[in-house]
Amino acid sequence: MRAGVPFAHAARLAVATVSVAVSMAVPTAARAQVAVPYYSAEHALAGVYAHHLPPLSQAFQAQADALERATAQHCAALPSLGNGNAPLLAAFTSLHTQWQQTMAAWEALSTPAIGPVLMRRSQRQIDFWPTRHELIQKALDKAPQTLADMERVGTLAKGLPAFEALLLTWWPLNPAQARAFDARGLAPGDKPKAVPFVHRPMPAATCQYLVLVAQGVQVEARELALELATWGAKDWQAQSESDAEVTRAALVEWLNQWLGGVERLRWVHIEKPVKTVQTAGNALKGNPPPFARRGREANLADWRAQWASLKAQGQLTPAQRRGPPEPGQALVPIEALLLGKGHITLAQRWANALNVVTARLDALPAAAPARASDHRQLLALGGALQAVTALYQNEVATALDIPLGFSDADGD
Amino acid sequence: MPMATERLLARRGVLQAAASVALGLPLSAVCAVASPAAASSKRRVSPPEAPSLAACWDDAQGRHWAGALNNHAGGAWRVARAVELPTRGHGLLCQPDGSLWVAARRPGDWLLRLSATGRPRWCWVEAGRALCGHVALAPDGRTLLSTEIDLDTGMGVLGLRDAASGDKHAEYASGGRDPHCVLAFSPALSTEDTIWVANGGIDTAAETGRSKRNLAQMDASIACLNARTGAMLGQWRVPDARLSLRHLAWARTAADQWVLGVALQAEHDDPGARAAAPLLATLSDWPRADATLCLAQGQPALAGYGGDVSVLRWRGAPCFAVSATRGHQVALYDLQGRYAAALPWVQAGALAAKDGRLWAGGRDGWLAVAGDLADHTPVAGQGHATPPDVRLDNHALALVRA
Repeated sequence: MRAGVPFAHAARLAVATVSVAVSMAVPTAARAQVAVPYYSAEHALAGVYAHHLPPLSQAFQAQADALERATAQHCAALPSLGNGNAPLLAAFTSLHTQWQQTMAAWEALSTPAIGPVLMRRSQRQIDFWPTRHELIQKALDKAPQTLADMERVGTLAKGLPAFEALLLTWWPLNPAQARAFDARGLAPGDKPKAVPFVHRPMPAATCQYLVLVAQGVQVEARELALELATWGAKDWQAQSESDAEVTRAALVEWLNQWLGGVERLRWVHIEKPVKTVQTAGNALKGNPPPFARRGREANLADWRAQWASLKAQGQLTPAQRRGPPEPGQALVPIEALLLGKGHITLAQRWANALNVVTARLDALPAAAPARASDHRQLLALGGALQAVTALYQNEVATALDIPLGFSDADGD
Repeated sequence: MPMATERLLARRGVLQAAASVALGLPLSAVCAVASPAAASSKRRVSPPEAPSLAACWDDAQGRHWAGALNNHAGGAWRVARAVELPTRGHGLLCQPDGSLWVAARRPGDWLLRLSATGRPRWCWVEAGRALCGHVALAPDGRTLLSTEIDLDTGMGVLGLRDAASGDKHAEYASGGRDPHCVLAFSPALSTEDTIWVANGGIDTAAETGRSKRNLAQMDASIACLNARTGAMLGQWRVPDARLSLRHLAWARTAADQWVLGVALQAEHDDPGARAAAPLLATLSDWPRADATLCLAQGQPALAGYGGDVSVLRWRGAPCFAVSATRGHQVALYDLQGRYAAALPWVQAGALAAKDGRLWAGGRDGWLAVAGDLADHTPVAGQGHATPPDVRLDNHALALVRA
C-alpha cells in the first residue's frame, strides 16, 4: 500500500475538502465558494519540482545560453567598434540588458533556494555578492583561458555579479564625462593633465574572462536543469518509512527555505544596505546604500523578481481562487496548503500580509526619490516582509506542522 | 541620523537620559562575566541592592533591542535603557571600562559597541564571513574574539579584533563547523593562555536560510586554542554525535580545579531521543591528556534544549545551572555533571550570575535565586516580570554598581 505523508497526524483525519472564500479582493458577500482539496506533502512537492521549477529552469538555461552568445559576440565585435562613444555604448547596453534578463531568470529559479540549487550551492557558485573587485583583479592576473582554468578561480570572482562588475568597470564614458573627470581637482590656472583621461577600451583578455564567466553561468544552468529534471520525475509518494522521511525532509526544506527567501530579500537585499549606510561613521555618510545590483532599475527588477517567485509559491493567483490547484498537477502555494487543512481565517490573514508586501513593492518609484524618503519607503517594505516572517513562524509553520530549522523561538 | 536609533522607550515611562553613560550605569560599572580570567582581577563590590541585567530582546512588533533592565523597586523589571538593533542581538560582553559589546546572530552581520562615552559603534562583518553570536575578551585584554563562519568553506573561524574598535586583524581556525560560544582562560594550571570554542557542528551556509543541513554528519567539538598562535591544543567530542555543543561556563572546584560546563542542544531525528538527551557535558582534569568530555548523569527528560549555562553555589558548593528552555526548568548539576535538582521556570533561557546569585530569564520575566541554594526551596512565582512586550533572547549579563 502506498503511504502518503501528511503534514500532520491530525491531518489523517481531516476532511478532504473545505469550502472557502475565493477572493480576498472582493467584498465578502460577493465571494464565491469553491472546494479546496486537502494537499499532501507529495502533492506539494510534485507541484514545486514537477510543475513550477522546470519551466523556470528552462528559462534560466535559455537566458544563460543567450548571455554566453551575446558575450562572445560582444568580445568579437569590440575591436571593430573603436573608441566612438555611441557604438560602444550601444554594445555595452545590449550586453547589460541580456545580463539583466539572465539575472531575473536566475532569481526566479533560485528564490527560494531548494533542491539542487541548495545542494549544489548554486547561489554561492554564480551569485556571490557583494562583489570583491580585488579578487576579480587577481583572477584576471591569472589569465585563465578555459573553464578548466576557471576552476582555480574562487567563486568570489565569478558569477553574475562579477560579470556585471566587470562590465560596468569598462563602461564607455562619453567625451563630456571624460573631460569633467579630467577637470576634477584642478584649481583655476592649473594646467590640464599632460595625459588626458580618455575612454580605455576593455582589454581583450578581460573580455575573454567575461566570456569564461558567462560560460560558467551557462554550465551551472545546464547542470541545474539536469538535476531538476531528476527531481521533477521523482515519485514523492512514500513506499517505505525511509521514503516518507525523504519526502518529509524535502517538504520541510521547501517551507524553511521559503522563509529564508523572504528574509534574504528583506534583510540582505533591502534593509542591510540601507542600515549599513545609516549606521556608518562620517566616512561613509551620504554614500548610497550598497545594494546588490547597480542602479535603481536593476535593483527594483531584482527585488520584484524575487518577490514574484516567493509570491507564486506563497499565494493563490486569481485564477487559482476560481479553480484551486489540482493535487499533483500544479504548484500548490502555501495559502492553498492552509486552506486545504481548514485554516481559512489564517489563510486570509496570510494572503493579506502578502498583499501588503506586493502593494509596497509596487509603490516603489522607478527612480529613487530623495535619500531619506527612499530609505523610509524601503524600510516600510522591510517591515511588511518582517510581518510575513512573523506570521509564518508564529502561526503558519505550526498550522502546517513544519518545524523551522532555526526558529526565532530558538535562542541558539 | 544614525540608524542606531537610541530610543529611551518613552512609551513605557522609563526615561533615563544618561546618554553619555553606558547602559545608564556609572562609568565605574563592572561586569559580571563569569570567566576565570575575570575572576582573578574582579573587584570586590558590595552586593547590589538593585540588580541590573544587560540583555537582548524582541518586542511585540518583532523589533530587536539591546539594553539594560533593572528592578530598583524590587518588583517588575523595567527597561532602563535600550538601543534598537537592525537584527536580532544574541551574545553580550562587558568590558572592564563598562562598555558593552553585542553580537548579532542569524543573520550574523554586525557587532555593536556601546561605550561609556560616545556614540554606538557598529562593525559590519566583511563579505564572506557570518558572525555566530558570541564574543569574548582574549587573555591579553586588548583583543576581542568573535566566532564566525567562513561562508566559502562553511568552517568556523575566530576573528581577532581590536577590543575598542572591533576592527579585525587576524583569524584563527576554530577547529570545526558552526562555532558558537567562545571563552578565554588564563589558568593557573597551565603555562599557556588559551581560548575555548564550542563548535556546534551543524552544517550551515549563507544560502540555507532556516534549514539545518546534513545533521547525520554533525561533528560538534570543544576546541582549545593557544591564545597567542591559534594552534590547537586539544579537542573533545561527546559520544553522541547528535548533541550540538553550544555554550560554555567555567566553574572552580573546592580543590581549586577548573571544570568546563558545556550546554547542549539535541538534534536527534527521533523525538524520544531528543527529549531525553542530556543538557550538560563537563570537562575536568584539563590540561591532562586523558581529560574527557563527559555527559551529565541522572538527568530526567528536559526536552533536549539547553539554552544557556552558568555557575552558582548550591549546598555550599559551586554547581552548573542550565536553562532547559523547552523543558521549562533551570536544571542544576554538580561539577561532576550529576543532575541534582531543577527550578521550574517557563521557557527558561538567559542565565546571569554574580556573587553566587543567579537570574534566569523566561517567558514570565526573571527568576531570581539569591544566596546559597541550601536554603532555597524552589517555588513557582518567585520571578519578577519583565515588561509585557519584552521577549528575552538567550543570554544576559549581570551588572552591578561599584
